[in-house]
Amino acid sequence: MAFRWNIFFTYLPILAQTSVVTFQVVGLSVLFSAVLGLGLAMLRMSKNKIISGIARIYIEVIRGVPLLVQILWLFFGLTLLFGLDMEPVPAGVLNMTLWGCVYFAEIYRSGLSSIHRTQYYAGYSLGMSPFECFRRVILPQAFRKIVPPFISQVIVMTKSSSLLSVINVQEITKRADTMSVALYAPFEIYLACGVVYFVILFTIAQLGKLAEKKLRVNLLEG
Amino acid sequence: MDYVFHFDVFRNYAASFFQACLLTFKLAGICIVFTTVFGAICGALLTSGSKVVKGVVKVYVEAFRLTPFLVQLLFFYFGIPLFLGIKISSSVAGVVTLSLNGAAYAAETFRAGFQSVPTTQMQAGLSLGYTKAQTYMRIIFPQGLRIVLPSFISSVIEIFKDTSFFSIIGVTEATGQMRYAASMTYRNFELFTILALFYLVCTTVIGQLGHMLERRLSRHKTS
Repeated sequence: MAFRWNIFFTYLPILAQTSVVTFQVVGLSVLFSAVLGLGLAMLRMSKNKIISGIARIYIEVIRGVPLLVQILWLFFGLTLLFGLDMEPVPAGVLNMTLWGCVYFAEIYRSGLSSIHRTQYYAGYSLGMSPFECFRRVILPQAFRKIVPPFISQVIVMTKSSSLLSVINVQEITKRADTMSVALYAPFEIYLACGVVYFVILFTIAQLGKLAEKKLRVNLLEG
Repeated sequence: MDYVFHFDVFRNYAASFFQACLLTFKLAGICIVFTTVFGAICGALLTSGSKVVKGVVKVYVEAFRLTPFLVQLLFFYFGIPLFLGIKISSSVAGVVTLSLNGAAYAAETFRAGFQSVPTTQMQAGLSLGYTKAQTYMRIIFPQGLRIVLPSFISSVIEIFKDTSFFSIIGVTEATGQMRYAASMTYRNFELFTILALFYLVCTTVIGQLGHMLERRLSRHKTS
């Protein structure tokens, strides 16, 4: 079969427009899970064994179960249990948030625990309060370690948002699905779909590299 | 909440779910083998191939890493067979796509592992009369493996979890079978909970086995 360029080039811009939905879902999910992840990281690092244990179990469960199964469980299972009627987009954001916050929590935790405790002592010995020390000494150093995995997690979440097509969120993959059936052109449409994702993710990855380079320069300048 | 739990409906589907779990293990196992072999080859090419070869491998790696696995799967199952006028089963399409996807990630892992082995090791191998391939197999690979093991184990777990995607193209592995059972009984909550537990137990066991292997391989180290 010959490659139908006209289909590819007609539907590429249309698919690119549908990325707005992907951006919305991913943007909200990243925002919520980045904040929630901070709380979860604090619970995980808590000195209280019960609290940190519960946080750990939550993290292990979310990491051990495929996202698709979590989506099915939440959207088709839990809603039935509580007799809820959920819209696909809020359900998708909720799902991605509950899942993504675990990864952000681990990113924060490893970033913070990579800072040696002598840094705290240094801060305290200069007369800083714990909060001041955290803000001025620990956070700037941890920030550099957190940015690269943070960007990779944004990329992972963008890719995973394609799974929300299963619960009928009208993002790029879902729209591509519909188009490929209607036009009977899965080769051209899914290729165009892949190109759209590639351009988005490549841009994010490049921005991440740029940010990393900037942070490294700052480190050298002291 | 006046929901009455009916975990007993699972009894009717237990046998077929067990079969589906075996299929999941089989598919994941094949994918892991292909991923390891193909990923190691690509990793070796990335470290010591010519510029053209390196470029080609890099394009492949980036193309697979910067697009969603689901889109790749749909492309390989619906797109390519129609375009080429061939027929492939959903399991084959799934295994091929997941192996290629996993290998793209593994290639980078292996590259990092190989590059952390000092170049003198390669020279030592060559000076003993080994060919380049033999040196890789007997000297570089075993040393690199120890370094890449932790991230390799997490990619094995990722691959295991990613087999759940196969249900979308109609493979009746664990997730596909449970989705079918759920659609028949409307006991989504109970059945998907059992499904989640299955994955949780399996990934935990894989992780623990990985830790044991790590400890075994590094026991001779004194530092």
